[in-house]
Amino acid sequence: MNDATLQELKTIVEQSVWPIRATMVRKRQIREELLGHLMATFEEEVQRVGDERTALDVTKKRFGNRNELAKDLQRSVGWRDQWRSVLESLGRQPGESVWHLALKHFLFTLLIYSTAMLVALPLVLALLILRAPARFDMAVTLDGHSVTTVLIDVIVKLVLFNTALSFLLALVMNRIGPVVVGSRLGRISLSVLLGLVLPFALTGLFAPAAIVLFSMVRQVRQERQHRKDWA
Amino acid sequence: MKPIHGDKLRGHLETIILSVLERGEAHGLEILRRLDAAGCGLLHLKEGSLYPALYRLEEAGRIEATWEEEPHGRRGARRRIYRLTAKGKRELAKGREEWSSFVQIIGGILGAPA
Repeated sequence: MNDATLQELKTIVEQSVWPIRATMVRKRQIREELLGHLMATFEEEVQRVGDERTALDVTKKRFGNRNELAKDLQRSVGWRDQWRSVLESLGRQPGESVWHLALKHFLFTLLIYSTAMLVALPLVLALLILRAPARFDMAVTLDGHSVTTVLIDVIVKLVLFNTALSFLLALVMNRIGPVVVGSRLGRISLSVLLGLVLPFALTGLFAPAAIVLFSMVRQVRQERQHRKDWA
Repeated sequence: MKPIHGDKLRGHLETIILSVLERGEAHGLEILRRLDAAGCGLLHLKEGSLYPALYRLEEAGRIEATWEEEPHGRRGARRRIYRLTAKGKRELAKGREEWSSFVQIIGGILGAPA
């Protein structure tokens, strides 16, 4: 099989796999399997018809419509893999600069945290009113400020802290991530750090930053696994 | 006999794959070869459509797969070897029962019992 034929077979695979929403690892597996199938079919057809051009045409015909296959493949991807692919999209994409990645994390955290806080604020206020309706007064002051002002102030600080934290994490993790995850001591330290962050993440305080950190660790581990698989 | 095309196989493909794998583990192309032999060359399935069905079965735990050790003479592309699981065997038995009942009912309606 010459390189042009191989390239054409790879294009057929790519047309079927590229549109799928799945993790990079899953897509790589599908690509490899479909390519292996097409190469074997092509070899079979060359033996049968004796002409590479005809064999390629028959191979394509036997394989079927690529758009339909892409839709069918998408339906075969489980919800866990689709969810992981969303997390994965937060990781660094091929050719993406670290600054672009950090900005993406900054915006993601800002969006998630602002939305969460917009939901949380009325709930906290409603809870305060329900628990002590007589004592609660929007005009009641804490150190000269109303309760609402104090709450908004805390929320704004939390949002700013988290967005800044995820921005810095994106910058730092992409520099030291592969080194940290590459050693046993690094992995243990990271696990301890994640363990420390988790209780806060569960309370919602550092959840967005924890998600960003988790997605980056996951990406680094996947890349290591991929290198191991293809070594 | 007229050939049977992919559309008519839809809905039965997964059970058919399970029954092919009951005869022993196989990679994608081998599954298609066995299907072709069993269907006397009358089953015309678009080969690409086999893989989504395999992935659905794998996701559902009815089959399991492992990558072959060596690329088998092809440049870097390995094959995945599929085998039936205990759950797959149960599903196959269930699929056979459903098929028998389907053929019996529809055959009776069409006046062409199996």
